[in-house]
Amino acid sequence: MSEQLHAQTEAEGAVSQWVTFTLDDETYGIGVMQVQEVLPLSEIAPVPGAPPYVLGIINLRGNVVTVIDTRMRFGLRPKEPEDSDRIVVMEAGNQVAGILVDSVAEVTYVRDGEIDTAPNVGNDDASHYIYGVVSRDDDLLILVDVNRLLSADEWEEVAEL
Amino acid sequence: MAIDPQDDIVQDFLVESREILEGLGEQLVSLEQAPEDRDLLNSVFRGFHTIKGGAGFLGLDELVDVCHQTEDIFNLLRQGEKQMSPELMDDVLQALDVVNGMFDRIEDAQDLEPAPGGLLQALRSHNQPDDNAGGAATSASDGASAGEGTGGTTAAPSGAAAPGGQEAASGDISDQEFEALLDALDGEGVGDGGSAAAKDTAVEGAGAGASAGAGAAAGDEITDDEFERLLDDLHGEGSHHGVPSAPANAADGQGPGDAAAGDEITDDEFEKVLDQLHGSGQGPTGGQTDAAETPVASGGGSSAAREPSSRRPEASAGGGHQGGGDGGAAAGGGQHGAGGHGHRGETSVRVDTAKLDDIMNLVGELVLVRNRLANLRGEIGDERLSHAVGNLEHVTSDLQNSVMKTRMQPIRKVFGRFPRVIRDLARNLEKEVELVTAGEETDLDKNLVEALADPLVHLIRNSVDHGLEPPDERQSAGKRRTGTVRLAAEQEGDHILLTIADDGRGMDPDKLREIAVKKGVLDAESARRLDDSECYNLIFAPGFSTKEQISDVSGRGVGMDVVKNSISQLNGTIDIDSELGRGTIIRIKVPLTLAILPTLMVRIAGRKFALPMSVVREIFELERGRTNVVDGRLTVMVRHKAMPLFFLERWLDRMGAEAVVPAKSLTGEDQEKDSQVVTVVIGHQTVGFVVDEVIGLEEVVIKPLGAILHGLPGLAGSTITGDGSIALIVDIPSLIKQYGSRL
Repeated sequence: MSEQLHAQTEAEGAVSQWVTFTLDDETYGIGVMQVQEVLPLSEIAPVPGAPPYVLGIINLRGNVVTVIDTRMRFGLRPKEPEDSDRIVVMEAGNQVAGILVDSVAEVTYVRDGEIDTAPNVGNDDASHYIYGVVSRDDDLLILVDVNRLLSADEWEEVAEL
Repeated sequence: MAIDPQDDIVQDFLVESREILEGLGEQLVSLEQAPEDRDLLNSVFRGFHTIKGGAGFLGLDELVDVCHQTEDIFNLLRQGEKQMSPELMDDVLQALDVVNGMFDRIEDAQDLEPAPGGLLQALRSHNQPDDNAGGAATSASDGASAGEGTGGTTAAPSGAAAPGGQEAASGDISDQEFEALLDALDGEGVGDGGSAAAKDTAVEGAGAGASAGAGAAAGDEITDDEFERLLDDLHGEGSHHGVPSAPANAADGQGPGDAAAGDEITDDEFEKVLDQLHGSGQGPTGGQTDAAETPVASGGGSSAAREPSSRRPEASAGGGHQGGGDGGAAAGGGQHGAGGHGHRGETSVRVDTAKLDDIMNLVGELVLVRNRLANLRGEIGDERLSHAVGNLEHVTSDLQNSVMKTRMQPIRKVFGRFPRVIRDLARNLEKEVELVTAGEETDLDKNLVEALADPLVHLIRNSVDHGLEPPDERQSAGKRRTGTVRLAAEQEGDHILLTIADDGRGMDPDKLREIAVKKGVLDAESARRLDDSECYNLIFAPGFSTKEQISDVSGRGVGMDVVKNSISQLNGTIDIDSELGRGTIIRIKVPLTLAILPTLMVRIAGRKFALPMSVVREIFELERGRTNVVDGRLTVMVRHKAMPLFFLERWLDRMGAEAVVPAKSLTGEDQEKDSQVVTVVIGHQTVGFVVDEVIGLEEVVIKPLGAILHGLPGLAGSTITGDGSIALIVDIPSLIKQYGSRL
């Protein structure tokens, strides 16, 4: 496997690993190194006065973790929470935060050569958080830039739009 | 270029130096009381020296300059060639401030600025022996700096130090012998070099010893590696040469005349000498050459170390014996360092507080698991299980306490800076002040110790500036000329009580009323209604300053309310009492720790919230029919006083998308619910919060909210309750400020 990977590396650039999750019908990926853990949906305590993209906070073994509404971020319609929902706890910079997703699928390998830049349609602020897209067969994998997703500044900008 | 404060070496340097600086502040003030205390003089000298050493290593020349000047002054002082004077102390204290300032800059990763020219000038002017102490040049530093630039003499002291250090490392000489040696050397007045180095480790010790001999800087310029090499080179050749030749050889280079001339070396020249020293110490060849020229001196060092008693007559025979003598002392220093190091062992470790916080967190989780088990025990009712859970309970409580203790520090850390504060104030204001402290051993949370420092400094300043009268006034009032400020700490249950008491003029309630009205803090009518104790507390109101004239010490008018705010932030209270003509006493109560907060758990709209107990006064049922609407706000009469009510529910309603803000006035639906009112005190005001249910008292561990939610108005943090769910901790003052009109 590693030899094979190595050969591919030579051919098409470095290989990175991505954790894929789904929201509605789309598949997204976040860098495996930034994913801390995946939790089943637990009670999310709302926080009065918090920005609208914050769903609330959860208790992660004694630490309080903020959960972000990814649907709102990606411009998807809101949906009632289901048992199959997952919270992906991520680490970016010095902060830890969770995102609420529909399901978590697998860890996939992506070669640098496969990654295309995201189609930037006009003034779509969601594209700020997209690192690139990978097209495989008929599926499209959208790679998310976690650092931007979690950075409060970016969020504030979005809030102002 | 600024150095990186995150670098490990820099970190170590910063931590160590900060500790030394803290100690220096205290030592300097006590030194003024006891200017002849050699131990103190030595330890101050060592302090500056150690910092200078580290700064030199990191290339912080600005810092080296100041420390160097100061260290030299103390070298003269401890050798009795100079007398302590208040002016000298002022300059030294200022130098200490400058050094502290430089450390602030280093921590902020900023470039250092050279010390003010005036200060360096002043230090330099102090940096020569008093006239009556000129005479024969007997000081170690004089002797060595007289060795002007000849490579031979420069290497002599360091060479001497070298074998000493190595022998020490191999443990040839026992501690007792070494003590005897030190004593013997001390008789000659050169043992200081040794004791200066005593606390350092082997190599550093030798380095320090060498530098003490070499005019207090050469050692610092040599890196450890170079020094090791030098040691190797010198050890074989130099260590067994006879004693008699030592003085003779040393005399070649440095007669008394030269030594006297050494006093007049300018800084520039001295720098040049240092450069030369540095150069000659660098390469193995250079080292060897030096060694060849100076085996005698180093021999003197090591033989002095072995035969301290026989060394004395020999030494006093030669005119320029000091070089050899220094070597001996320096060697001794190296030895002592190594010996002490080996025997003492490490009994403490530095731990990042973040790690302690982690442990604290985990212990908190353990407590939750224990609670769940305890619940299960009740359900299952198995005896063996309940026994095991009982044990677990004990162990977790002990664990919790132990972890808490690791974060505790004696309040001495804060109190330690006050002698200096008082001294400066007394000199500035020309008052005579005595500081009495008690309860320095009282332990409290590290964060609290740090957070209390500034408010306490402010209060102490106020006491001295506003409270205490000038000596003449005191005398005519029949008091002692010297005013007393008493600073005490004691543990009172789960609180720490701090008192700051002065025996000054006290406060006049009528005058306070008058000022409050004049400053627009209160109207005349409400001022008249205040009782005396409330009047004293007026000084904590924003914009209240009693001093007619603004001094640079206190009285900018921002002081006391800021103090009060910072104490409130620590969930503490501050209270003041005074007696006209007799003095004022300020009492501060703070919790033992910031990690655990006593709260009142309430339920609002099905969610749990924690209100800090420090502001909660009472709880009562909201009864319909006793409410009135005043100025558009629902109020309730409590003991014939109208108290405004705030509905926390409306704050929560704003959370969700479906939030429909209910009408301002109390609707019929609201009235039908059984509600409870929690009375809280904000500043001088009492307000009521309407909640659905009061759950009870709970001590909670505060969990900060993440970066995204940080600083939300109305929230002080969150916590995890006994059943594992999350409760938000309400920050009542900021909640009222932000949402007050809409609740």
